[in-house]
Amino acid sequence: MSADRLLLQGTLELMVLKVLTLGPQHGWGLSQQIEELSGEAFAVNQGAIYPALQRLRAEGWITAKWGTTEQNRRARFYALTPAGRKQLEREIEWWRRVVAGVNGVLQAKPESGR
Amino acid sequence: MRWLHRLRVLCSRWIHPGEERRALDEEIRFHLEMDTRKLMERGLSRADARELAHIRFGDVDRVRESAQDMEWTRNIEASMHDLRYAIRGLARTPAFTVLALLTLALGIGATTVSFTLVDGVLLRPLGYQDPEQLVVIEERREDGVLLPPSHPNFVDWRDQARSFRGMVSAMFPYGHSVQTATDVVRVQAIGLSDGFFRILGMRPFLGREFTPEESRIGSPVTVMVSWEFWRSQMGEERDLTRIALRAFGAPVQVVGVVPPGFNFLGTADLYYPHERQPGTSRSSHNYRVIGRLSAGSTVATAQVEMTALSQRLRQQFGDETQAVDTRLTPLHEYVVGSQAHTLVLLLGAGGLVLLIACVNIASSLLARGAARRQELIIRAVLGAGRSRLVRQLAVESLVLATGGAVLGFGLAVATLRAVRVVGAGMLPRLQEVSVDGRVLIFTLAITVLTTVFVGLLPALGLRRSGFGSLRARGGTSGIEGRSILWRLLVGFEVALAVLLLVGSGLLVRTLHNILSLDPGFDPRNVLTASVSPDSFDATRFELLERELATMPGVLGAGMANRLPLAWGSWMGPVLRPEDVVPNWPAYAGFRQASPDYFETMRMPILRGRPFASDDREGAAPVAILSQPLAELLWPGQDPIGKTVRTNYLSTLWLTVVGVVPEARNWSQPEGSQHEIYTPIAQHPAAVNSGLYIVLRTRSQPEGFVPAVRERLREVAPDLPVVFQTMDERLAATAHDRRFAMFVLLAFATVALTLAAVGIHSVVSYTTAIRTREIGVRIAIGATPGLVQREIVARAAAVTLAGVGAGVLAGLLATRALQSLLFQVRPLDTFTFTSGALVLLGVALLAAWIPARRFSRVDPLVALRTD
Repeated sequence: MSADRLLLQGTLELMVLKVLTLGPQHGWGLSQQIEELSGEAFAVNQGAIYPALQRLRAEGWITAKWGTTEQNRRARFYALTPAGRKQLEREIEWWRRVVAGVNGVLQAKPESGR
Repeated sequence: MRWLHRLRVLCSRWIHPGEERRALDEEIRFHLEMDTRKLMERGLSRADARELAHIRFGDVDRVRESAQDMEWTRNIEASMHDLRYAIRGLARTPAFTVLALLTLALGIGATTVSFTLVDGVLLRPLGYQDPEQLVVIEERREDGVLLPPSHPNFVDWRDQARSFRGMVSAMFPYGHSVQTATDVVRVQAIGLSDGFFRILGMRPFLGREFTPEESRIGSPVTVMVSWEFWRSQMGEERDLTRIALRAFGAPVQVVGVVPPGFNFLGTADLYYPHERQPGTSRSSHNYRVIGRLSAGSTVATAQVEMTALSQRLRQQFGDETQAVDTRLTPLHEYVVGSQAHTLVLLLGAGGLVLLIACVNIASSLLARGAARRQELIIRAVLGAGRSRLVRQLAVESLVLATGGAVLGFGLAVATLRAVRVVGAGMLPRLQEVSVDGRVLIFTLAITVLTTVFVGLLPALGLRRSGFGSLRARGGTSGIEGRSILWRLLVGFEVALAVLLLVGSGLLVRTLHNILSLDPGFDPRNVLTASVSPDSFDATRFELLERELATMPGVLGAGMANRLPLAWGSWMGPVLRPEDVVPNWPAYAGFRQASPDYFETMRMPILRGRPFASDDREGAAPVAILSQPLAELLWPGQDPIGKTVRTNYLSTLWLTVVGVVPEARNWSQPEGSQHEIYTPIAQHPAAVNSGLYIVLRTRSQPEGFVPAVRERLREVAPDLPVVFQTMDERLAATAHDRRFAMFVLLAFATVALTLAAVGIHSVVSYTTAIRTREIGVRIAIGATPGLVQREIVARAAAVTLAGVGAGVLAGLLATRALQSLLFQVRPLDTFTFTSGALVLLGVALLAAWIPARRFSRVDPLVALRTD
């Protein structure tokens, strides 16, 4: 897995965890919410959310449970576990560091020539 | 809890492999449909919306694949791989694997057997309805001695006590002859009071139990038979009215078959209502009484009422009853109480063996782990994470433990089958013991514990040593630190083995003391034949006695109504002329014997004379007393010529003509056996519950059984007979000790072997890794003897420490054995010393074998190793 994909997967998982703090949600709903909240910046490849959900579940950060939607359709709902909540805090911290790091790089000014 | 959750997810994947895939498919379908619908709402055609949704979703197959590929699937694959790897690795070292499996099988097997016995005998409730409501009631004499109740007392308790929903009694079993359609057989018969099965909450297997009418005085006798008797003697005839049976001198009607396995009062084949001929004496203690507590009563409240009731009865009847109080014991405690101790001991011993087995395997795994450092390094370099390596070791111990558990369980089942045969009569409820779900769960639990214990140490060792040091030279780094752990393990093992050795040693000595105790007669080479004629004809039996006495190889023959050591049987009060009824001065067993009985049993006549052939009906009635009884009645005086009376012959004053030693059982204190003998031919009518013919033989008495049986068939074809040697009868009284000793000894042997194997393998290994060093030392002039001594000395130091610890533990632990010991103190120096020496010897031998091998090493070869 290349570094950029790792980064991307990391942010996707971060966003999934964050959105789940709003309440249990199914995969499609999550992708819609992320799309909306991100101003459609993450509209590409909605399917990528499913491997991420599987991994979060395997880590024990979220649980999955079959239920019915408002339209009375069967769907799998994901919910945050206490461990997931703690992980979210760690992820946010990580994200802040990444952003700070990237910002540091972006704010670099050309050094005065010799 | 996170790991719990992960475990659940993982398990569900294991159990339903296809389910997760289907779930994902359904999720994807749902997703695409929802997205399509959303896009249609924005005005797209259905086909366009579908296409766009697919584009937005991305490659479905890839999503599916990468979702499947997530963490846990990799975990499962990895564990499958670990499993295969562990099995391959174990197969590569068959010697180690077989030894480890056998060791574990022994440990797990021993523990499972002990648990099964403890569970079956102690923990499992008795097979009666609400058994916790059942209590056994005994009479307590003024001096605190407990006696079986008498019938009149039982009737008064049953009528007056309010704490009980019901109360029943059963007479002690006695031998009886019955005649079936085809045969005369001797059976044990037990009299039951009215409503016996109803109150115990049992139903007859077939037919019914006795009606109150059948228990009424003088009604015609009806019987129930055991299930076994019904099967073997009655051809499983279901129509009981068709069964022809003669018992108690008349044809009897069989009304029911008792449930299979009913052996609450000892095994018997015939049951009859004893109240149709009730006991009338308050001093005839021939019954066992069981009460069922009424709702709201407890053992304590019932005890209070019964104490008050006994005192009332005592006031009413005075010395006619000896019961000044009663004792209530919960039935379960009464049945297994005496054995609880033995069984708990057994469980402890089994646990110790398992612990030793675990220690052994852990230390071998540790050694193996060290030997495999090179391999582990390579795997680490190739990218296996440390946790993966630790897991590898854990899987390995799991595989070993599971294999050991399967073998051990098989071993346990086989052993239990053998114990049920060999241990019959040594333990109560043994026939109820079986391997079932509880035992299985227990075995599983100890397997898990074993895995953890066995796997943990090597894994910890790996953790601590770290891969930095692994990466150094393949061989010996870290071994020194580890050998401390080894020494601890071996020392621990030795200590446990010493504990078991000392425990079994104490019991061996106890059994020896029991068997070598002088019983007051000579039990060797004595054959006993138990017969129960319908009536006793003195002339006929005297003829029979003479017939048998003249058989080749038979040195003498005698007859008696009871054999020695029949403590508690046919006991009744005796009194001197000056005593006023009912102030009994003594209470003695009523014995009837033929003139040759004392000579045959080699009971010396201490004073006076034995019975003579003219001491018979019509002649002056005479008696011989056991010495403690004579001493009690006339302390310091010559009893010869004095007169005495017994309630069994209440109209006669008997003149004392002789004194014999007391026939004593180890379980009874010295001087406690009060017996009064009368000539059997003088009171033939009193011989009414069977008699014994004893034969002194020139050699092994068992060999005479066929000939004696043949002769008896000629002269008394209608007389069923049961043979037993006197030695067997004596040994039977020490059954529980024998059982405990047998088990402890077996466990101690296993422990000793395991300890020896453990020491051997550790010395081998630790020496093997020092081969180079040894080679160098030999090259610069050390003699093999010196090297050997040094290696053995190291092992000896560890063993000594272990022996010391084991002896210390033994000083504390053997107190638990106290109640099982006879004439041995728990801190018996001889036992402790010999236990320690045996272990030390075995340990040194186990160390010396590898030491010898390595001290012969060729320095050149040694230097090239590694």
